[in-house]
Amino acid sequence: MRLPTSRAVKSTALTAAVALAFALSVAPILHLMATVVYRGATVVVRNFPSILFDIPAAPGDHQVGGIGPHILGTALLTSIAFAIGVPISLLAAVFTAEAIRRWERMVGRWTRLLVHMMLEFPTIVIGLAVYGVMASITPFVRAFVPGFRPFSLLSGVVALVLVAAPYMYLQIEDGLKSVPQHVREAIYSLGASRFVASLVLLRYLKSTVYAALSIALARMVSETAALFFTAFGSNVYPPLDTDSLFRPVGSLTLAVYTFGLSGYENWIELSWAASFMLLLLCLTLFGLTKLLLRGERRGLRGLR
Amino acid sequence: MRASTKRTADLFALNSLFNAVLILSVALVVAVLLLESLPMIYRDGIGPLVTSVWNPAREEYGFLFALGGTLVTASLALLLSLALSVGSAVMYAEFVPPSLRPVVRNLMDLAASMPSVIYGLWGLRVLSPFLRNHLMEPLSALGLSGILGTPSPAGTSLLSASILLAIMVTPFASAIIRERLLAVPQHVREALYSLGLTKPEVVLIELRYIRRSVLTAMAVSFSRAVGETAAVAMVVGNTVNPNFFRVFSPGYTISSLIADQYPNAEAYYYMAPALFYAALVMFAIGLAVNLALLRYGETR
Amino acid sequence: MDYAVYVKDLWVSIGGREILKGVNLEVPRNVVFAVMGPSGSGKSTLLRTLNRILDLYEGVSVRGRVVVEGIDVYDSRTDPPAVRRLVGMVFQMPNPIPNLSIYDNVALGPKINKLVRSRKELDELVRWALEKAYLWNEVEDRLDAPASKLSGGQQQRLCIARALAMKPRVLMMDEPTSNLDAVATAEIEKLIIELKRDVTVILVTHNSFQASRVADHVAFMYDGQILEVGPTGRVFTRPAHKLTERYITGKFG
Repeated sequence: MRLPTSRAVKSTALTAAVALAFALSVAPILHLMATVVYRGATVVVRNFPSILFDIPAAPGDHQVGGIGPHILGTALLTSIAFAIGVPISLLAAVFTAEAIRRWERMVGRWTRLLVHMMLEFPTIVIGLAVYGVMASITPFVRAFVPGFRPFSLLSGVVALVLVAAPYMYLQIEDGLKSVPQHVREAIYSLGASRFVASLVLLRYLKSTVYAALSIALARMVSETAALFFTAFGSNVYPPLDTDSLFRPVGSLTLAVYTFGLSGYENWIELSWAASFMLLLLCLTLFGLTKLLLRGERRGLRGLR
Repeated sequence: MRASTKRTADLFALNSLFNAVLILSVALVVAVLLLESLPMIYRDGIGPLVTSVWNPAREEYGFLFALGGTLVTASLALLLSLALSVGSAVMYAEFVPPSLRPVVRNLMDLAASMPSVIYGLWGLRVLSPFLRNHLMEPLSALGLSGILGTPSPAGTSLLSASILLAIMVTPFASAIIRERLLAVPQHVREALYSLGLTKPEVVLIELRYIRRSVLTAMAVSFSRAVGETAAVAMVVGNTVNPNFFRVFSPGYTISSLIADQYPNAEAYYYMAPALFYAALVMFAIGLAVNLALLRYGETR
Repeated sequence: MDYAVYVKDLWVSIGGREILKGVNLEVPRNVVFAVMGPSGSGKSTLLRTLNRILDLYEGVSVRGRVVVEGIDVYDSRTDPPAVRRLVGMVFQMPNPIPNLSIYDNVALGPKINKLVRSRKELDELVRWALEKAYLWNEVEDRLDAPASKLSGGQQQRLCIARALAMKPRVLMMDEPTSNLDAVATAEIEKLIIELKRDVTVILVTHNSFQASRVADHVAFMYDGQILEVGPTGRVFTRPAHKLTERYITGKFG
């Protein structure tokens, strides 16, 4: 008993189209990863470990030098932004999820709405806006802090906080909302204050919270566009003094961008090396997130 | 007893300060966009949206070419990723054996979370030359360059940007579609098969069933493509191209225009306001897509 | 060997677990044939084997011979969709395609299998099927409404109409009334008895009283095997097997 040929042919053709679309969406990704690993690892291995500490060689030089300032920049930007962004988003999410009174619920609703909106801002817009603010306050701030500049580590940190905070906030708020009511009642019935009870709730959601933090960290590490006019980029180590916060810094992503677009072979090699390091970092954070979310049915926002 | 209730409630209320920080940040971002672009809006009105003359020396900033580039690249990317993401989601949900699914899913999820600047580097150094040699040059040789433009030596072009964007947004769109395909109830699937439908015929009906999710996925793809900066700025060629529909030629998008021109902005009076204006337009496009989604799509 | 369904030494395992252990079955034409047994005895799996709906599940292995209306179902030259077109199926949970209209639910099968030549023929077929299922009077003025708007009993009759519209030779029903109330159940049972004029009905039920009310022949399944088969009157009055007796008297299952 066979199907009519026309239907069989049509079905086979549709199946083939599906397989082709799948191949076309996966192949570039595999090629990209393979290229980054191959080209990046070659440069890193050949220049190990100086590539981790040196500053870039002059463009066109036969040596590549290193991307030390960019690694340091990424480390500084993300760690400071993380330290600032985590408490803000965590506590704001707790407030929104546990709001009871009328004014509390209203504040919560507005936060949610606006954070959703911020999630949709292109990150270049966030960077541009941060620059706009920093540039317009510069004349006033300089009266107190003479070294203040809009292209700076500080601006970069603010931009990264604004990029990553919405993700943390929404994930943790979603998590808190999904806590079964009987668990919530049990915790509150222990007689703890609302503040303490909400912290206990966060502990109950431990793996969700950690996963949200890990995703946010990955966002900060991968961000490029928001840093263009804030951290700005720099190929040298900044001197350590009272003005350190107000100097431009580089980052791995900015290194990939500027060195990749340059016409010099040795800088392009640095760009591949920086890509490779970024890929490793993101792969680690991705694995960590997946591990934390193991067993949970739905993925979190921003993971995909 | 009464006193202690009051005190703890106050401590909780302190958290609202952090809500205020978030609310104020968003408000500030929007306010700065508006304020900083006001001088340009005041001077030229909608002029910059309808002219393609970018001449900082004469303080002329028509960015129609960038707006057009954004719309062309995002639309092309949307069309390509519609085919790619529906196809790969169907493949995942209907043909990949469940034991292999985690491998595919993790790969796609990883692809979705990779830094866009890495895509940019690969797009610049691998994809653009490839497209130039194997697609754009042959087609130009056939005489299409009159319509589609002439490729640059590096292959950077609006087309390269579109294809790179399609590759980048497909993992997101595909994830949305595949989850909904997997959520089609088994009893509905059984009903369809029991009528003697072949697998592809069943899939077509399932896709009709989840069409709102497909729409959602497409809107998400589009607004991501509109806002993407680092990767696009690396492959689009960064050239003022008033004929932005000639996709073999290099061009600009709004995001790459901002990224590329901003460092020069301080040398001119109106360039910064013009770029803020452009950012405002890009923001408005994204907002429009999201409002449409709220109306016709499904809530995620 | 002129049976509607003929099953010989059928073994089915799912995920390494044996579900059917050597089932033999012969179903004559134009009867209501009930398969009863406690849950987990393999009734539903047996039914899903006959039209290869079982192919949708992971880790299934089938050994043995299944012949439906002269077609060797598991022959490598047989296309499963072509078998399913001859074997209608009604499920435990009423499962109209939720986003399709009442009309389209019934019309889908005939359209895809090209059973009709014109829109007029299709209209007539849809009407015929809905009338057969005693649903026409209730839906004739709202054929374009989504199927999900119907009540549970109506949805199940729509599913029967959907199956009938394919003009199947065999109609399989997997506990079709277990999600319905008493009134809807009585309607469906009446319908089942009438349907045997046109098709062979295989009814799976865990309700022995339902089997005794509608079936001409019954089979009793237990732990993946058919313990007893026979005319309904004989099985219910003089069960040959101890377990059958205990089951039909409601002592277990």
